[in-house]
Amino acid sequence: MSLFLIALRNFTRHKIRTGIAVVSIGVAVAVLFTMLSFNQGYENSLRNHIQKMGIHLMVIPIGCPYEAASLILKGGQIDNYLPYSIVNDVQQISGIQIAAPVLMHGIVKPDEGRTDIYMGVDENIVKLKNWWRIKGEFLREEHDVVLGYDVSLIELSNVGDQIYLPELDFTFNVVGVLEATGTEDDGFFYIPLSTSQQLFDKKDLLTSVQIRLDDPSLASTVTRTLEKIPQVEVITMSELLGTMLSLVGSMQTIVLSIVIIVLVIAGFGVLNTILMSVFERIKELAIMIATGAGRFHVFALVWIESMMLALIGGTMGLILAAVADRLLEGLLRRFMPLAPAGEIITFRIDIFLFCILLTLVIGLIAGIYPALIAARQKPVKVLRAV
Amino acid sequence: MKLLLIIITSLCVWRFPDRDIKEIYDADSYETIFYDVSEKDQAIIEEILGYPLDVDETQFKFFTVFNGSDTVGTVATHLGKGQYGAIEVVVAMFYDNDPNKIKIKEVRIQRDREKDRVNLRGDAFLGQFKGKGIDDPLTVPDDITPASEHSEKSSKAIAFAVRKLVVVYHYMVSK
Repeated sequence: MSLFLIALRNFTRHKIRTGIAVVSIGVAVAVLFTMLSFNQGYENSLRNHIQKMGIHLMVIPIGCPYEAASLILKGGQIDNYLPYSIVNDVQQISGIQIAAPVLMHGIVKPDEGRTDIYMGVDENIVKLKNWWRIKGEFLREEHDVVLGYDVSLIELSNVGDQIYLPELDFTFNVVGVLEATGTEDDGFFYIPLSTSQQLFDKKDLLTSVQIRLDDPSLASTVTRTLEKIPQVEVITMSELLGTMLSLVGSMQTIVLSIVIIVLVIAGFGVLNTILMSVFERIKELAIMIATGAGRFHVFALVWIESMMLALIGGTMGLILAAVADRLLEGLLRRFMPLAPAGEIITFRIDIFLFCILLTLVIGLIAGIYPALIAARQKPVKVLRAV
Repeated sequence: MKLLLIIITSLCVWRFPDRDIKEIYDADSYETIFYDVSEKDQAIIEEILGYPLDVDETQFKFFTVFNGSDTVGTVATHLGKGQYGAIEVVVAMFYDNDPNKIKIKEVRIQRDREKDRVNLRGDAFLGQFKGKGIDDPLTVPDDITPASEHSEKSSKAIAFAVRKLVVVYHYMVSK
């Protein structure tokens, strides 16, 4: 009988104990696999999402952009705006393909638990976001509005309808509706820049200038030139990506640390299970040695048991993770306001193999001590004690 | 797009349940009841209404309101299209044992973008629904006077929402 079969048979002696060890390692590996898959999936998804925005750089007034965004979402007034004249300065810089001025304003609807975001834009926004598909047409007149896809659903409005702004006593004509983009663009009301400046009392002011470059590799050169303009700050999309990833990264570090602790504990569980098994079979192992089995064979038997235990647990954990990840993704989206569109937990074969390898290593390490104990038994001493 | 638009119409939330049940019924709790509408039910309801239900209206949600252990009424909500955007209507009903005696206790607008919102939300318009029942057609302008001459479309949308909820509820509890 091969060592593998003997090892497998030994598991069935104490089903509950073996089961607990398998479950503990399985859960730990499942969590690790999910964490690593999330890490990779989230980064890819976020990168795609930001690339899809079609923007390479964003010029904003000096200050914290995240605080400004938060204030706008809450309908608050931000302290700094850009002068409209900056658009000409920006457009003259070599390497800039499109510069789209934007004035963003939020109107809070406390009774509805939401904020209507109005984006004052001009025709450059359509050039910048050339992947937009608009049902109807883009803004031409003062009272025109293009609705984001989600907005059109919330307001039950379509091309040809009118939208009234009770807060400012202004009526818009819906001239276009964006087809679903799967991005935050779906949640905005797009109105002419001049209308937004007039309506929200921000004459000749902007909240940002969104820029596409001729060549994305020019980002740092253009950024340096843009930063020479007084009172402006430039955000590159890679910075934005980095900031968002680092926000999520801090949380992941904590969770990953906990997973490592759980893995170590699971490893001790395997060690304990195998050690108990060795102590219970001490006479059996001594007889094996006495009847001619080499100490290496006994060592290998116990070591294989340890590895198999870890491997079974790990495999079950990976199956569990693969099944539960779709559910988990839905759950994560509920609690992650920054979750981008697309799969944020992706199944990758390299992560799968890494987890299997790690499981084997845990089994190997956890099995060394019990295997040494088993191999060092002196048959005469053991059998005399019986 | 059209299908999604229709699906959203059924996702009308009741925004201020605690406030509404306190103000309308002086009640303290409510329970959500779901009524599934079969094809047969749908055909009968549509015949009574004289208008088809939305594609997704295969289930209706009503809220039974309690004061202590006593049932004091039922509330339902509806999201429809007004003249300048969506209108969310809350309909509070009550009846004493006999479902044929369902009466409207109050109608409220919980979301709208209407230019004439003052009149549409005012008691002169919404008050017309009070005491009306299953036998009232709630048609504008015959049975219900529009909130103003400029808001006939929105007035019709509100009246239709109220009529639909009363008809569906009456049919479901009395069948």
